[in-house]
Parts: sequence; structure tokens; C-alpha cells
Amino acid sequence: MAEQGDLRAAERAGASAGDDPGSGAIHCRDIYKWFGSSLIINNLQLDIAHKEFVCIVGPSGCGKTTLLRMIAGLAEIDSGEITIGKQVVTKPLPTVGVVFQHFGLFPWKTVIKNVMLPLVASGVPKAEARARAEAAIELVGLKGCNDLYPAQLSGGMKQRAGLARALAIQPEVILLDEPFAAVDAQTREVLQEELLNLWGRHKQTAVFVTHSIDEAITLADRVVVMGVNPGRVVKEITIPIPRPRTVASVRRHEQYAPLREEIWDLLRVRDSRADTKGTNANE
Amino acid sequence: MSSDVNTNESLPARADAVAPTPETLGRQVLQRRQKRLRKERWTFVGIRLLSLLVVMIGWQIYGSHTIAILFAPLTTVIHQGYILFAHYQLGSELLYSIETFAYGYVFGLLIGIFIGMLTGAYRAAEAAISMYIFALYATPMVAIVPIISLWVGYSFTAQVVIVTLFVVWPVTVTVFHGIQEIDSDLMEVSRSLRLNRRQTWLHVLLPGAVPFIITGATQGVAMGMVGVIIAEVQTELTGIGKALQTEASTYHTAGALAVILLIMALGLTLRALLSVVKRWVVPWQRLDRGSRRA
Ligand SMILES: Nc1ncnc2c1ncn2[C@@H]1O[C@H](COP(=O)(O)OP(=O)(O)OP(=O)(O)O)[C@@H](O)[C@H]1O
Ligand SMILES: [Mg+2]
Repeated sequence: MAEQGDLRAAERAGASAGDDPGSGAIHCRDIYKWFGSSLIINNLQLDIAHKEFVCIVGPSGCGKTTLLRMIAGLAEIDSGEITIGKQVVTKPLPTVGVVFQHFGLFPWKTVIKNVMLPLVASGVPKAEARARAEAAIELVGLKGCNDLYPAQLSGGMKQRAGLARALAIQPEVILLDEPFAAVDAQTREVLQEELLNLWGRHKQTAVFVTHSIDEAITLADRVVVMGVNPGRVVKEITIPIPRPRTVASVRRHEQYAPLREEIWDLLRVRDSRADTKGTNANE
Repeated sequence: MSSDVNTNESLPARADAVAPTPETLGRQVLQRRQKRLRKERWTFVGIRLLSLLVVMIGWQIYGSHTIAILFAPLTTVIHQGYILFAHYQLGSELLYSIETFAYGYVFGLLIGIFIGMLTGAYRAAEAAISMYIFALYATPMVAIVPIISLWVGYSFTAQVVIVTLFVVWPVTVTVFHGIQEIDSDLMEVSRSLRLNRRQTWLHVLLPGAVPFIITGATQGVAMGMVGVIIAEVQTELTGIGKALQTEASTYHTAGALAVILLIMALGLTLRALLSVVKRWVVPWQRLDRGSRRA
């Protein structure tokens, strides 16, 4: 055990020295994905650094969810390779937490049981699992809701619970697919604020899919803009707004408006080319 | 397509979202629900009693104005029922039938749950046996009764086998569909949480199937009751089936009606028991969205 801890520490030290890529670094190399005979993702390359926060934006149907599912080990990669740290993704990895747009809470389990599940499943003793789950629930601001069923929670609360479950396993990488899309605009800003806060304190690599350009700029170190037909990376834009950030401070930042415009334009340009259908792509 | 991008920002805020803390929000939701449910429950009890009263009065009036061989007023029926219990051992006949039902029902339920889960969860099992299940499900089990008698005879065992056959197919089919319908999203979540096969059964498939098992069990009650009467009339004449047959064939219409009422009451009691069981084993559904309709 102690040995493992030392290894971890060494790894962290290595990462900061810039030598080791870090256990939370994600590399997507030459990714292709078909559904039936249509090419969904065409030769996608994406590198995400250890503890980097990346937001992915792109038009509907460009393959954002598919990409995230491949990184999560939930969808097959038809060609190419995804690595997280030193591991090649072939199935869900224990170091990866996923937050689903549809919350993915088990209706028959209370909040605490939902959050404890991945811990218990991986063999963490019950008492320790409970303690860690409680900590995660408190972290996302759901204290006191331990014994409520998902049906008793509002949308925002459900997503907090989903986030708590992903964080409870203390992942190196957290993948979020439009986690705030199903909640109303105000709750969404509150959740963004809290996520900024949370991530400021406990950094891990985050890949966050969103339809909202504002949300992407607010949260990300880097915004990846994807194109459609077939899905690919069009441009990667570094967000130079310093941390710690708040929703308000980002909006006030002088770079905010130009960044927003730039991403808008990228999305528009690509849409006008969208009818070139990537049909001749499969040999 | 193009206008789809980035629409979320302009969504109007919901009025009730003025951020109370998650805890108070959760508690308020719960309290409001409980209050409304309590009120609803009493309204429906009232409607039910009223309906019962109307039917009973209607029966009494109609029964008093027809020939005794065809129909009888409710009071006469109840009186006949009392006589059957007091002087013709309807009580022990009833117990006999309940025993037959209990064995057949439990076997049918267990076998149905097992086969339903197996075929619902594993494609190979489905491919191997689902066609037989659906074939038997679509076959009126009455058609099989004579053959069962040929194989097993006319004993108590034969009757239990017949009841089992009546119960098993609706349960199997309901559980089968239930397991298949467990949200594929939730199955993906379980993969993402790295649950192994045992854990997936324990935490996802079994709890997810419970509501369907209850539904199947409820259908099984009705089918099982049919099975008992048919088994008793078609094999050895015993139990309530015998009482019914005796009364009807001797033109004791009031007696026959009394036995039928008894069967109905039995069915209703079992259903009520099951809904209590359901509240107890499916606590999360009690909290789900209030009333279903207006
Ligand atoms: N299981 C599937 N079978 C067949 N086609 C699929 C499947 N899943 C996704 N697709 C197709 O792949 C493409 C990309 O889907 P994906 O869900 O990844 O898009 P997205 O970028 O997440 O879109 P949105 O922003 O609307 O969520 C779509 O054209 C979709 O029709
Ligand atoms: Mg998507």
C-alpha cells in the first residue's frame, strides 16, 4: 500500500517536472467510428493534458457523445487508439468517472446508495465507502439528501448526485456529457459556479461536452470545436482567462466577447459546409 | 441543423427555480406530495364505497323481481352462503382450494420469475426457449388440462400442476419483457461503474425487475383462480369447484352466486395483499410522480 502511495506521489512529481505525461492525460490517435455504413468520426486527433479542463462544442450529431463514450470505454473504437495515462482504453477504466446527461441514477437506490455503488463494487469496505460517499455528497452541496430517492430530487439535485458518484471514486479523469443541459438556466449557472469552485480545489482531467459556448468559455482551459459530417476536430482554442474564475468574472473578461465570437464563427462556417456528406470516406 | 447550436442560453428560467437550498427543496417536495396523496386517497375510498352501494342496491332490486332459478337478491345470496358454510362444509372446501391455489401459484411464480429473468437477460436463453414460452402463453391452458389428467391423473398433484401451468406463462412473459425494458441507459451506467455480472444482477437487473415481478404476480392471481376452478371441475370434483358445480347443477342459483362471490372476494383479497407487498418492496415507486390521471 505504502509503495503504491509513493508511486502516486512520484508520478505527480514527475508530471509537474514535465517528463511523465501524467496518469490523467488522454490521447486520441487516428480515431474512426462508423455506425452501420455511415462514418461518424473521421480521423480524429485529440490530446488532453493531465489535469486539463477541456470543453467540446460542436453541432448536434457531430459525434461528441460518441467520442466521450469511446474515451469512457463504453463504445467500441473502430480504428485508432485512445490512451488514458499509460492504459489503452478497451473497457471502462477504474480511474475514469462519467457524468451522464440523463443523470444515470438508479431509481431504486437512495442518493447515498447510488454514490456508494461504484465504491462497493470495486471492493472498498462498506464503512469506508459510506464515508467517502458522504464526503462526495457534501462536496457537491447535497448534504442532508442522503436518504432521498432520485424521484424526490429536482433536476439540478439529480445532476449533483451524478457528479458526486463520479467524484466518489476519486478519478483521474472525469467525463461529462452535457451534464447541465437538462436543468434550467439559473440552476445551470449555479452548477457552473460550483463546478469551477470544486475543480479549483480538486483538479483532475475533465472533458466536458456542451452546446453552450458561454459554458465552454467559462469552464475550460481549452475549447475543442468539432465539425460534422463526418465528426472531426476543427479547431482548438485556448482560453487565457486566469483562474480562479467565477461565472461573472469570466463574462467581464476582455477576452470573453472575442472568444465567443470566434467560436460562433467556427460553428457557422462549418455548418455551411455540412452538406458535403462524408459518404465517400469508406474506401 | 445550423440553428440548433447554442440555443440553451436563451431558455427562460422556471419560476420555481429561485434557488432554495437542495435540502429544503427536497423536504418541501416530499411534504407537498404526502399531503396531496392523503387527500386523494380519501376521495377515492369515498367513490369506491359509493359505487359498491349502488351496485348492491341495484342487485337487490333486480334480484327481487326475477325468477329464483335465474337470479336471486343479494340478501338471499348472503343467507345461502351462510347456510353453505354452516351446514355444507363450504369452509373446508374453501381451505382445500386455497391450498391447491397456494402450491400452484408459488410454483408458477417461482418458475415464471426464473425463466423470465433468464430469457430476458441472456440472448442465448431467449433464442433457445422464448418461442416455446410465447407459444404456450398464447395457448389457452384449458386445452391442456385433459392431457395433464392423462399424465398425472386426477389427484391433488394434478390440480396443482394445472394451476402452476395457468400461473407460469403470464408471469414469465411479464418478467421477460420487464428485464428487457430495463433502461439501456442504466445498463450502460452499470458498465461504466464497472459492475461485474453478479453486481449487475444484484444492483440493477433484480431491483429493476421487481415492479414487473409484482405485475406478473398480480396477473398470476387471476390466472391461478381460473386454474383452480377449472382443475377442480375437470379433474376430481373438489373444493370450491365442487361447491359451485353442485349448487349450479341443482338449480340452487343463490348458492352458486354465493360461491362465485366467495371466489371474487378471494381474488380481491389476494390482489390487495399484493399491492401491500408492492408498497413494501418497491418503496421508490411510491414516491414517483403523483397520480396517474385526472
Ligand atoms: N447507437 C447508434 N447507432 C447508430 N447511429 C448512432 C448511434 N449513436 C449515435 N449515432 C449517430 O452518430 C452520430 C453522432 O451521434 P452523437 O450522439 O455522438 O452526437 P452528438 O454530437 O453527441 O449530438 P448531440 O449534440 O445532439 O448530443 C449521429 O449522427 C447519430 O445519429
Ligand atoms: Mg450528445
